[in-house]
Amino acid sequence: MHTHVKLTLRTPPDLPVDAQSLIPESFVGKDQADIGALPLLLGNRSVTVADFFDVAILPADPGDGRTEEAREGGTLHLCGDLSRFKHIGEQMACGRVVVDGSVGSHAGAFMTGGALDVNGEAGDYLGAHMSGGRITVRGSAGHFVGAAYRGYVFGMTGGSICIHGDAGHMVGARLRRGLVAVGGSCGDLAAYGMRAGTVLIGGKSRVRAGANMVRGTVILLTPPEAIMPTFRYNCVYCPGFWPILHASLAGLGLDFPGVSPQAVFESYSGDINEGGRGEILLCRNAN
Amino acid sequence: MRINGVEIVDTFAEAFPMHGARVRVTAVNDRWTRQAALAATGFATSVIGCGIEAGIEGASPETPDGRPGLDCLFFGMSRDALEKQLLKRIGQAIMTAPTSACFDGGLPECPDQEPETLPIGGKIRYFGDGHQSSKVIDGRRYWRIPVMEGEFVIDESFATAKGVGGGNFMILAQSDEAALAAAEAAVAAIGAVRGVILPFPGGIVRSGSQVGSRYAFLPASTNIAFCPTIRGRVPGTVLPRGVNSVLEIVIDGLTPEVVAEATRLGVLAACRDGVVQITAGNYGGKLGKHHFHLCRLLS
Repeated sequence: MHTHVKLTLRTPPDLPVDAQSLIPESFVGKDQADIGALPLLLGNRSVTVADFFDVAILPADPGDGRTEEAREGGTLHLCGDLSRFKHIGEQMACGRVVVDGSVGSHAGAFMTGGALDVNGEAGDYLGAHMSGGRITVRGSAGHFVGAAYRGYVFGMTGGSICIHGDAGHMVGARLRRGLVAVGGSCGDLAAYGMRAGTVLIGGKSRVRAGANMVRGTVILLTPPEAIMPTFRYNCVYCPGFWPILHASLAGLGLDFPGVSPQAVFESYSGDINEGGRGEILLCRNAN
Repeated sequence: MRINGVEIVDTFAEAFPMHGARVRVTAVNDRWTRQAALAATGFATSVIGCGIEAGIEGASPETPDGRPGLDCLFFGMSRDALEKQLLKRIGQAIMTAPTSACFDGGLPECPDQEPETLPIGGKIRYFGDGHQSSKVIDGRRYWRIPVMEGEFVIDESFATAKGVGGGNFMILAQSDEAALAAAEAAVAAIGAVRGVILPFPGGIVRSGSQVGSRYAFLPASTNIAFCPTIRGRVPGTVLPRGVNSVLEIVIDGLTPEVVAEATRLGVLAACRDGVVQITAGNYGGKLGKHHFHLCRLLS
C-alpha cells in the first residue's frame, strides 16, 4: 500500500515560505507527529509543517494508486492557497504531489522523477532545471517555465511540463531536453537560447519566439505577429512526429480544438545566428 | 490418428530457437502500408538463402501515429544477423516507400525474457547526414530523418526476443489441386494466430529441403524423400501409394505456444478431401530444441 498524506493549509503565511521539504520522499514511513515536525523556512526563521497545516495520513486512494508515480513513491496531497510556498516538489524523484490550489515559485525545480499536479496557478521558474518526471498545471504559470537559472547554460534537461493556461516570458529558455507545452498564450522570448527539446505554445506567443535557439523545435499553434528574420522558410508539411505528440498531449488532458493529428505546419529553420539547426513549426490550418 | 479420413503420422516437427522482432509499418493508407511491408518482408523465406525469415503478421492493433499499420515479424539466427537484415530492409524498403514510418511493435508475448533491443533507428538516422533530429515523446525516442518527400520517422530501438523458427507440417495429397486447396485452407486458419508468420510465398512451400547435398558447395538440397517424381528411384522415399503432390507449411513464431497453436489449427484445416496424410519434418530430434508432436497437439 502506498503512502497518502494530506496537508490542509490552516494559516496562510504573511511571508514567503521555503517549502523544499514538501516532497513525497520526506513523508514515507513517518507518522503524523514526524510529518508535522518537518522543517519549513518562513522568511529567515525555522518553522514546522504543523505550524501551517493540518496533517492527515489517509488510506491509499485507489485512484491515485493507479498512477505509476503514486505506486512507486506515495502521494502528497496539499490543499489551500500555497502561492507563498516556494520550492514545492523541488528535487522530487518519485511519487506524486497533488496541489488543490496555487503554488509559488520554483515548484518542481530540479525534479528528477514523479509527478506534480497543480490544480491552480504556478509561480516563476516552474520546473526549472528539471531532468525527469511530469508537471501539470491546470491554471497559468509565471515566467521562466523550465528555464535555466541565471548563469547556467542549460535549463530543463528532461521530463515534461504541461500548462493548461497561460505562461509568462522566457518559457523553456535554454531548454536542453524535454517538453514544455502551454495551452494558452505566453510572453516574450519563448524558447530563448534553446539547445534542444520541444516547446509548444497553443495560444498567441509574444515577440521573438525561438530567439538564439540552437536546436530543438518550437511549435506555434497560433500564428504570431511575426517570425524573427533570423529564421528561414523551409516548406509546408505534416511532421511525422506530430500525430504522436498530439496523442501524448491529449493523454495529458491538453486538447487543441481545431488542430488535428494531421495538421499541416509551415517549417522554418533558425536561429541562423546560432547555426540554423533549430526549427519553428507554425500551424497552418488551426481553426 | 485419423481426422476426416486423413492419416496424421505420429511424428514431430523439429524447430529451432531464432531471434525475432516485430516491426510496425505505417503509411498514409492501406495501399502504401502494404507496399512497404511487402517490400521489407520480400525475399525472406529461409535463413539458408536469404539470411532472415520474415512475413506480414497482420494489421496492427494500434499505431503510434494513428495511421493504417501492418505488423511484420522478422527472425534471424542471431541478434547480429537480425540487426544487419533489419537495417537493410527498413533502410531500403520501408524508408524508401512514400509516406511510410516505422515503429517497434513490441513483444508482449515474451514477458519472461530479459528485454533486449536493437538500435535500428539509432543507426538508420545517419542517413540524415547530420540533419537528423529526434523527439522523445512519453519516454520513447523517435528519429526524424529528412527525405525528399518530407521526413521519415522511426523508433530508435526495437525489442528482440528468442522465438521459434522452423515449425512445419507437410500435406501429402492425391493431386496438386488437392494439396494446394488444403494448404490454402491451413494458411487461412493460421492467419487467426497472432505472433506467427509463414515466411514462404503465400505461406506455402513446394520445394522443401533436406540438409546437405552431394555437392560440396550446396548446404541444402531438395527433400528427395518427399518428391513424387523420383519416388521410383529413391530408396528412402516416405510417400505412401496414391500421393502425387506434397506441400509444406513452415511456421515461425515468437513463442513455442503460438507455433503449437498455429500447427494445430493448420493441420485441422488441411484435413480435407484429396489429402492422404499429414506429417512433419525433423532430424531425429537431435538438432532442434523445440519438438511439436502432431498427434499430441491434435488429441
